[in-house]
Amino acid sequence: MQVIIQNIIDALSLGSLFALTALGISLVFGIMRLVNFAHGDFISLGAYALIVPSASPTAIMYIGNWPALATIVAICAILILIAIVCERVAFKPLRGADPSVLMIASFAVSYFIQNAIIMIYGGRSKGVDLWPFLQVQVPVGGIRLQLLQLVTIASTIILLGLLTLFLHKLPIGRQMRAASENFTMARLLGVRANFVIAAAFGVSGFLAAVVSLLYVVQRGTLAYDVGAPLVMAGFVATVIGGMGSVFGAVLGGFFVGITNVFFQVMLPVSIRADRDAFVFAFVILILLIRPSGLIKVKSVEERV
Amino acid sequence: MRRTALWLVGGLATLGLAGASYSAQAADNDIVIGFAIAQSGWMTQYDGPDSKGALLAIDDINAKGGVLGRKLRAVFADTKSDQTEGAKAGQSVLAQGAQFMVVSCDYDMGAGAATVGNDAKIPTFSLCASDAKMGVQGIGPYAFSMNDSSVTIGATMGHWAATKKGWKKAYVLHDDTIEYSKGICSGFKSYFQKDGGTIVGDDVFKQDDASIASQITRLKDVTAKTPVDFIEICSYGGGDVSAVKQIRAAGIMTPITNPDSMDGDDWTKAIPNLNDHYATVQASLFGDDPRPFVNEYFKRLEKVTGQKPTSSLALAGYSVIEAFALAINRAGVTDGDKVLAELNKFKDEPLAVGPTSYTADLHISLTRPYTIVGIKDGKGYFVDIVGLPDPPPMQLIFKGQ
Repeated sequence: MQVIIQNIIDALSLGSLFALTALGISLVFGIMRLVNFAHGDFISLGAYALIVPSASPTAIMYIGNWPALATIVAICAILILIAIVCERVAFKPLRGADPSVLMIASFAVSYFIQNAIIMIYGGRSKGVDLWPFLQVQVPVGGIRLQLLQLVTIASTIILLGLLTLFLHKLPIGRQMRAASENFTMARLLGVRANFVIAAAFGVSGFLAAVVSLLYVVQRGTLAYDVGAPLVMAGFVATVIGGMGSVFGAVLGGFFVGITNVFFQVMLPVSIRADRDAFVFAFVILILLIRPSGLIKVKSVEERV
Repeated sequence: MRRTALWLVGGLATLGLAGASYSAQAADNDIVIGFAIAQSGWMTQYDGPDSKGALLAIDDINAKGGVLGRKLRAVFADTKSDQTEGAKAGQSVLAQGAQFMVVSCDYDMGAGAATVGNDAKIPTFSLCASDAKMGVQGIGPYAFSMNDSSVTIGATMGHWAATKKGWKKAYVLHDDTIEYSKGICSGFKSYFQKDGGTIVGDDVFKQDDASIASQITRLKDVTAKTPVDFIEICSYGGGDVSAVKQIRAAGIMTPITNPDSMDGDDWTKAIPNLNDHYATVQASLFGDDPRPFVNEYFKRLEKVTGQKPTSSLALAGYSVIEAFALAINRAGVTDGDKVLAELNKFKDEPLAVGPTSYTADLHISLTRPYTIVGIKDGKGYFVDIVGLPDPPPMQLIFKGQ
């Protein structure tokens, strides 16, 4: 029984990480039709921002050593700034271009960031220990669960709630939803394009910061491509959940996480190494049944 | 008239260039060793210290008068940590006059340049590839590796655990992302079981897995029913460090063993107060190796590179040059085939890295002793030097996995 509950928590925790990543990707896609593959590198940058910039193989914690709240605020601020700067420098000049062009531009940004990290911090992965107090096991109703997993799940639920409030109650949120539905019409009605796009990138930078911190606590190592697997899973989650839908992204994230854990647990050891093949086969199945994703968004759907 | 003038100028220029290069080569009596290695990109963390070590060997040998009365000289080309650039780098060092070649510390990364060297019929050494394909059966008869096979490295841990520690029950966690870790696990399992050990449980994860929580849940479940003496992880890099961190974070204090990818103790920053961790490595980096040359060497390397070495594989770089020098001296000439013949006669040659043997069919070490190091309170220390009594099964070495 304990094993089953532990597996469920493992699935939800992994799903939460993917859901938060997918949220960041989905927000930007909704407004700009841009699949931002550099999102994974925002996550990497958030992780590297914790240490002193140096190519030494040993990482020296700097921002990571500040009081927890200060670290969180600092990393969020840094990533919001980086995301907005990236948008201004790389994507604004390409505004209005074909989505495939924007996607290639995001690959270019991603490649640039990865190589900048290698140049400044060296190519070798470094070990870091952030917030070890989250690594403890807490007793919950007779079962011991890891505090970090519970914090990850709770953060996702809270952030989803806050994001929903932001999008529905705040003027800037309404403007973002309007721009997502019909960009041209929104501009005609007075929505300032630059402001809304910067806001979207800013929020996605904030979400990348949260993922980055949770991921570093768990993984304990920094590498120039540490965010890459997350963004792949996040992208798949966005597609399954329904591109352009915030709730769909979260749903997709949990879906990918749960499927991952399910196959990791259930497959016999001889084929367990091919777990990803099963996960993606399942993804293909879902897309065959519902090509637009679990939650259809009218403005994104192709109309003949 | 103009065309004749142009032909004349062109002809003179070509003659001039040919003359200049001929005179340059005639004046240049050095034996040229071409390093087609990664000087940029992620692979430098392995190729860098190793190649610096090789340069130290070149300095040492030149100080004693060189080889056959001639000085050794290194030329370089950057593979940029890219497999396709490897072949270009190989061509480049050949163009710079290389008579012998040194390639990257990895089969996949070094194969491009190694193939070029093999095709040019010059003895080519990988700094520390642990795949037997960097040899006769893979690249070709001129390719060698200075390292042990990854199967041997894994088997050494299994042998040490069973015979020296008396550990009988193991749980294996296997990262099958690259060939290296597959070799480690197959060697470990075969030798550990041959020595009477039992593999209680077996699980798989991937280098890029965001979390190994499910694997840990299963590990806890299995070991609750059958306690194990240690956990063997066959992995490398950030994924391996992360796995150790997550296992300890889950409250599992069982001893953990790892292959030479987990050398040094810089990475232990990720895991506070790490204890009971062991790794099979080339030598101890911590200044306490029983071989005085080793401790001296790593100190020299630290001075030259400005950084503490992070992998004892840097010792292999020194031995590559030692091997070249020995073989060239014995052959009496720098002719590729004659030097190759001498390399193939190596029997327990006392190189810095350990007794080294090669035959016409085997260009990698299968039983050369490896060192066990431990971690206590996050600091590394020398434990033992262990050699296998007999080589691991041949079908594992050349499985092609």
